[in-house]
Amino acid sequence: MAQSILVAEDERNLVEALSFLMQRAGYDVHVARDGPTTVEMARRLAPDLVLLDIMLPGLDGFAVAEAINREHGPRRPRIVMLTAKGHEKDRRKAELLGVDDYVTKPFSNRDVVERVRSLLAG
Amino acid sequence: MRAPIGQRIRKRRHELRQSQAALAQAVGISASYLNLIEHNKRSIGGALLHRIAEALALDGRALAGTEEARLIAELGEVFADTAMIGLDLGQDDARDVVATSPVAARAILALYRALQAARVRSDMIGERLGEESFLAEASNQMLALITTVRSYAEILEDYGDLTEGERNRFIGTLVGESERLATSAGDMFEFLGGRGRRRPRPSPREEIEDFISDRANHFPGIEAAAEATFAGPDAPPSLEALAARLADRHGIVLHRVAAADVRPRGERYEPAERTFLVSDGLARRSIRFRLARLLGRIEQAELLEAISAGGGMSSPEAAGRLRRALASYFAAALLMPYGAFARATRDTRHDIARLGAQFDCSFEQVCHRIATLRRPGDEGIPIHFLRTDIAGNISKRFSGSGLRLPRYGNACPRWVIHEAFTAPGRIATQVAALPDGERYLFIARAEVPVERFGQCHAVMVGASLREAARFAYADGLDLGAPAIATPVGITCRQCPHDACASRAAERIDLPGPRPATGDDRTRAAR
Repeated sequence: MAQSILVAEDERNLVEALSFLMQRAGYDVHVARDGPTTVEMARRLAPDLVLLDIMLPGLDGFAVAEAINREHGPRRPRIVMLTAKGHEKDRRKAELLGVDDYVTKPFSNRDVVERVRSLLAG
Repeated sequence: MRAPIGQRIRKRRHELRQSQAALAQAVGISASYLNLIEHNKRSIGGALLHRIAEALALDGRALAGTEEARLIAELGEVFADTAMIGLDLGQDDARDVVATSPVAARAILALYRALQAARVRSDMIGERLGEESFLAEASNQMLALITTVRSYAEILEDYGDLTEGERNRFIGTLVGESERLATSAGDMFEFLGGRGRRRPRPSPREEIEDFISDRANHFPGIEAAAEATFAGPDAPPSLEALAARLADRHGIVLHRVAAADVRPRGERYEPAERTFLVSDGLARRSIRFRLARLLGRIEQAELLEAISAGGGMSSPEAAGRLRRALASYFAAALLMPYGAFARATRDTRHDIARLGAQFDCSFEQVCHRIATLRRPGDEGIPIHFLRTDIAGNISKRFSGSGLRLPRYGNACPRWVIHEAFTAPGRIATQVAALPDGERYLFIARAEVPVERFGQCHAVMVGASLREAARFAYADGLDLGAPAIATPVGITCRQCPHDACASRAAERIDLPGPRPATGDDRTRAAR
């Protein structure tokens, strides 16, 4: 069975691009457009990886990551955060929350796909 | 100040078409005495004032000028405002205006109060525009658009097997997002241009703070110069070594003189005489720091000049102050060498008092230095730094931790930096919870002046509470307990804690500026 990815992002067009990329890379893709839905879907679907934007409506990416950590414990999905370039503070926060990797916007598709692949292969 | 009671008597007498002699007779004094009174050469009160008021059919209080005295005092204050510079108005003018037309005086005061209110409001707007929502929101929007555009462009390039439908859809999105990006960028530049024109020129202090903040308070060139100054990068020089170097290489002799001779800075360099005068009221470590700074000014003049020239300061005064600030940076880098200091900071977990003892530097100097540890690969924690006097006026600010420090007006009265004055010399700590939910660890200490009329000031550093484990001052704090945090704001004007007992100014509600994007999807407030 294909591994699954939850794309948590509220920019509609970016969601479409990321979904396309992940499908082409061979993953099952689910989409959540706000924080609470992300937490709920992560709970219900137990995806292998969450591509998590920081600026999510309702509950920001950090709070979502915290909730996922709390609910899933050591068997939690891998998390790749989408952060803004130059926001060092955000990156530090992400590190402290133990996210597996982060990609800075504006990212390159190849970079995102590569990071996701290496995390899910390992 | 004496109220212009004489003018009022004469004015009223003229209105009633009474002669000086007639009025004098009516109140039982000589005409010449009344003349002196009318020219404000004699002050009057009590029974005589009462009799004159009665004879002129005036209220005694109005004649005595209690209200006028207040008007004159207030008007004098208005005339001393920066808005009146160049008009050369003084107390005499205030008195004349009040005597001639109290109504006009009241009108001026009403206008002035409106001006003051507008100033506060514009400061608050400036603060918000400068550091908060509009730019943050607009730049996030643009970043999202750029990301999308880039992603679609790459898809079109990388995937040759797209179906016709997919290709058309992706191109459509790409074109649409590019257009939104163009509009967004246009809006932003218009906003920035407009802001540039409207905003008054910042003060030299603000300019320097902006310059330092733009460079994250870290200057690799100065660090390198400091490391190369004395043999062994980790061997900070003693006071004697510094004095010897200044004397041997530059012929500059240190003299300790009476504090009064070198006010207000406590030092004066006389290039012509090759002397460096310092106040005899200064502690050894302070003299050592000043020697190190002078050494920087002399040996690194070109470097400091080059960095300051790159800062594009708007006035020679600002440029001079920036060079001094950079020379102080050099002194700190010399006395607290980067590698050794960063290591000690980690080892002591930011124990500022211990670091001060170890490097023989003051609390403030250590606080300053820990905020500069931003060397890539050997970075310290992002730190903010604030210095205020005992009245709360901010004299230095650097925000590295993400905490927004007030640019205009005083900081929240609940910040521990103010409380520090209740126990000078003692380190006070606080867990501060901001309205946006961020929590910070604050560490503050107040200094009392050694000499009379010296300045009382307090220094505060802090970091995100997430870094608490790296601070010795957080030991023993139950960080999980919600009650441990003090709810604070940034400034009263912007603070949502309406029921706060420490509130010192009314909150001003500003309409939240939003970028015009035409996008109906809104992001959650952060």
